[in-house]
Amino acid sequence: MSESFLQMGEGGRLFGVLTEPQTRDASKPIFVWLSAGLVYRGGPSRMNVLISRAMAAEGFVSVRVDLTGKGDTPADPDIDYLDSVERDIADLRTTLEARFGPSTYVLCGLCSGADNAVRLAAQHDWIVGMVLLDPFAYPDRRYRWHRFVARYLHIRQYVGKFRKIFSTTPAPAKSKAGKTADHETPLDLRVLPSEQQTRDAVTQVHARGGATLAIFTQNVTRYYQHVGQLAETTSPEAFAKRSEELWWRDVMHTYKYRPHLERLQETVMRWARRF
Amino acid sequence: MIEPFLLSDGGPDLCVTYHPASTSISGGAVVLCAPFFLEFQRVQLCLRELAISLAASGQHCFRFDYRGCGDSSGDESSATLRDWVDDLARVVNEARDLSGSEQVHLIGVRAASLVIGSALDQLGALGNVVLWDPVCDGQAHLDALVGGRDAMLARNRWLTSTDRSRAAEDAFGYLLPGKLADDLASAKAADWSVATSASLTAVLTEPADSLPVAFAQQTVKFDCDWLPGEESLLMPQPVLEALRECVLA
Repeated sequence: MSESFLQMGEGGRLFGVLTEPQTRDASKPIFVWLSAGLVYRGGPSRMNVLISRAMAAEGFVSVRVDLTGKGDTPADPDIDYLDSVERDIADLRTTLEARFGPSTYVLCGLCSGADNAVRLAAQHDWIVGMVLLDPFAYPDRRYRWHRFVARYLHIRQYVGKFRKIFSTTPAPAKSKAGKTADHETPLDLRVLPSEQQTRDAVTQVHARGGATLAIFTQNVTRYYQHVGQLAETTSPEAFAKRSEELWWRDVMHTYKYRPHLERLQETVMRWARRF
Repeated sequence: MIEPFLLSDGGPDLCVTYHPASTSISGGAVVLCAPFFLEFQRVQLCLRELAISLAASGQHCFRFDYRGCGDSSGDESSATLRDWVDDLARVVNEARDLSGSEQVHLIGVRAASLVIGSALDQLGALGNVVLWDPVCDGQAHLDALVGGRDAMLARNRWLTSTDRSRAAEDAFGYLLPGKLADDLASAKAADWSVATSASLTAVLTEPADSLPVAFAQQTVKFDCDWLPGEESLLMPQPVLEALRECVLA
C-alpha cells in the first residue's frame, strides 16, 4: 500500500490523498471519500483513512478529498456550494483518469458527504456505487405511522412528563457551544438532494450494474424510522436485489466509538467485494 | 500554495504540510503541533488558517500529523508519547533544513503541550514557544477524557454488553492504548525542562491549573468548550490573532 498527495484543479487548489494497493485491479472501481460537513478529508475518528488503507489490501484504489472550503482545499466565495462540488468532482476525475485511465467510481460519504454522493450519482454514468452513511431518507407511510405512534401513543413519554413535573433534579446542562449535541444530526445545515434525485441515484446506479450501501445510525430518527425507508424511494424489490440498507441503532452519527468504526470498516469491505 | 510531503527519514512516514513563507523577508520557521483525538478534528481548519497567516508574514510554517494520527502512517494502537516526541523532533529538524533558519518557533494546542514539554531538551535552540490552552496535568486530562467517554457510553442504551466491554481502549473513536494512557497520565508541566532558552507563553481562554511559573500568560476571551466528546469546529479569530502575535513577538 502506498499513499500520495493530490493537488488537483486550477493551481492545485483541490486537495486529496490517494491510497493505492501494491497491485491494482483495473476492473475495480475507485472509491472516493467525500469530506463530511466541515470535517477534513480523514473523516470523523479518522474513518476514511482506516477504511481506505484496509481496502488497499484488497486491491482497491481510494481517494479521500477535501471539498472546497474544507480541510486543505481553500474556500471560494465566487462559486455556489453545489457548483463547487460539481467542479471538485470533475477535477478529481480528470486527475484520476490521467493516472489510471477510464475508471468507474464509488462515491462514499457521511451526512452531507452522502447528500453530495446522491446528487452526483444521479447525474454521472461513471458512478457505479454509493456508500451512504446517514443519508437523508424521505418519509413514507410507515415512517408517518411510526412518528404518529411515537408522538401520541408512546406511554413512556407521559410517564416522563409526569416525572418531570414533580422532579426536583435540574435537567443536565447542555454543551456551551451546543452546535451539535450527540443526539441530533445537523439536518438544518445540509443541502438535501430532492426525492427525485435520490430515486434517480439509486435506480441509475442499479442500471449501471452497481449497488448502494446505506447505513443509518441512532441519530437520524427525525427523518428515519424503519429499515427499508430509503428503498421505498425506489422499488424495494429491486433495491433488495442489489443494495443494502442497514440501521445501526447503537451507533452514533460520527462513529465516536472504536468497535462501531471497526464494524463499519468490515461492512464496507464485505460490500465492496461484489465489485 | 501548500507543499505537502511525507517525511520518511528513517522513521514512520509523517504527513507534513508545508506553507512556504510568501514574502522575501523570511522570519524563520514555525511548527504547529496539533492536539490529539477529537480535538485534532476541531482545530484542523483553524491551524491551517493560522499557518496561512504566518506564511504571509514571512514564516515558513509546518503542520504535521503524529504517527498513527491524521494522514501519517500507522494507527494509534502502538503509539506512545515518546514516539510523538520523536516525531516532533524530526519535524523540527526538517523545518530547519527546509527553511534554512536555525530559529524554530513552536505553537502547541492543548495536549500537544505534553509532547512539547517532553521534547524541549532534544529540540535544540528554539525561538518562541506558544501554547494555546495547554494541558499541564496529563492525569487530569486523561480522567476527563475517560469520564466523558464513559458518560457518553452510559447514555447509549442500545449498546451491546460485548461492545461496552471494549471501552477501555477507546477515546471517542480513536484508540487509546494502555501505554499511551500511562504516558499521558504521568506527563506533568512540573516535569518540563524549563531550562530551555525559549520564550514560553500560554494563550488561555480558560484558567489553567498548574501552569509553570516560567510561562508568560495572555488571556483571550473565547468559549472553546474543551469538553471531552465535543466535536464542533473551532475558528476562534481572537485566539489565532493572539497566537500569531506571541509567536512573532
